[in-house]
Amino acid sequence: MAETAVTGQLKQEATTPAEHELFVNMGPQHPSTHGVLRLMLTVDGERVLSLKPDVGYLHRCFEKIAERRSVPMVVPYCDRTDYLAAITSEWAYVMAAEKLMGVEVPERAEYIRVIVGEMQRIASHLLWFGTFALDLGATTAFLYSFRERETLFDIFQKLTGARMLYNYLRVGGVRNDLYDGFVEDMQRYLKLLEEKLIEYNNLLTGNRIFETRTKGVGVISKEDALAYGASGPVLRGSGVPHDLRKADPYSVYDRFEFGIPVGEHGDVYSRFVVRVQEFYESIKIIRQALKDLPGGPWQGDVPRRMKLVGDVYTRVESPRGEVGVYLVGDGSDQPYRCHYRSPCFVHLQLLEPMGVGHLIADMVAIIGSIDIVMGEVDR
Amino acid sequence: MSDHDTTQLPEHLQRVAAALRDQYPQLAVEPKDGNWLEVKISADQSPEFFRYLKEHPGLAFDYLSDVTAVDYLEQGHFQVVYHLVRIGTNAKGRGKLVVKIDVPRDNPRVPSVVDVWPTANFLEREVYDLMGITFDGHPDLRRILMREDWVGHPLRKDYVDQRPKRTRVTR
Repeated sequence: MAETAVTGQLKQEATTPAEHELFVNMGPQHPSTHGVLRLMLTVDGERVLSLKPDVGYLHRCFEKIAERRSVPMVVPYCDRTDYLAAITSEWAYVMAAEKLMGVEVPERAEYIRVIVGEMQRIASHLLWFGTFALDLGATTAFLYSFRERETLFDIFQKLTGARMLYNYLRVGGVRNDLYDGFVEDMQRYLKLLEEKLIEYNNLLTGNRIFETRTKGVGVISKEDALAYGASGPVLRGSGVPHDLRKADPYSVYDRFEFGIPVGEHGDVYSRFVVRVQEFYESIKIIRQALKDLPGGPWQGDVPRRMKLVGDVYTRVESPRGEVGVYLVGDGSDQPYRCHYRSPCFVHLQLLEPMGVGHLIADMVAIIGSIDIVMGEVDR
Repeated sequence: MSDHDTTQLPEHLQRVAAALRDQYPQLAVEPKDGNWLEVKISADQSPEFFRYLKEHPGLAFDYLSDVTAVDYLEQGHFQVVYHLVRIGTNAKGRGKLVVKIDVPRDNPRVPSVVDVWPTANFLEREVYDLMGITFDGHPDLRRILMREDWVGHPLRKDYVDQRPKRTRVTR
């Protein structure tokens, strides 16, 4: 085989390590990488000496595709970036388009967005809870959390017609109104979830084996977290009380009372605790939104041909962190440029300061704790 | 809008604009949607300007949210766009700044800001990969999303797909 740039680089990396060091590829098909992430590790025995993430296996160039589609046609592509939190990805995009066109979103639509947004956060955290426990060898938690996730997906399916990739938010509102009996369904579900969360807590929180695997592992300081651009539960796990829903309130989030859970030590366990507490905060927000849900239209007035002028950057707090969309319009009905800022892409840089010096088995816990979605990293 | 209009802004943004003009009196500070301020600088000002933004106590932009670039083919330049936020304790997340740098299409180079914010590492590699802008001083400027041996930069407006055309098989 002729030596290309790729094989040449591989060869060089494979031959550089000193006598006791070993070059290991973790992934792209490793089950704990949640997709196709390749980590180039140099190890001494089981200990990680250096680490380089290699991404791009799922790259579809969403940003180029968006330049060839009309404004509303981009929304389903947003679903496929962060496929575990499709609503929040859509939200950042439609918010940017609305700002560029000066479209008013009706109050009821904003409330529906908040409700589905928080449902999405619960669904995403449920999947994270299960797979994170599974990575550490606890199969039961995985089965439990997927059971509750399926129940929530049933409600999503009744509301939007889809279980994961909804295409539900529209520029100027949402596609359809809540169905009859949604409020009752949701209240029943929240009550069920609260009961089950106690079960989850009994399984993992305070479990000796779980705590030994996670406490003091993958520590990242407050300063480093900020410098490396961490956001969401990773940043909060390091003790920075920053949440875009409070710090830069969008939609109607300023009307609800909820707390920002903050971790103490910046380790895997702190990030775990933050996410588990976020379940309760999301439940609180949904309850308030269901109570004050106003009537009226769920779709605002939008021109038939949507034309974008100017540029805008919108940020949304997704379950994983700060999702940003930089949208530029040149007066035509297609985005001139649509950039998607992905929190997981930025978080991958944290793997090196978190993981060096730990065991390979701890890498699995660390990757699980930053809740990575490769569809979003590679876009 | 000229920089005189900043008097209409909320107080914390006015303080940012004033601190910027202390050091860079020629700088045009424009208000933007949703409490953003926008400034345009030239590429040779770059690393010092960003270090000033981070280290001046009245500015303290400690968080680089995003680095991206836009190809303005008709105007003949690229624009590198930085989005900066303050998260530190006294600013409480308020005060947001967009910094834009125009670079010519025939020699697109800007200084890297990795020394100021380590998070720029991957973000600048992505811009280099997809838009073909070189970041001087970047420690590890390689392609990140595309293959290492890919030819061209896909997000440029004049990019032509160089892969061989596939013939559609019909039955």
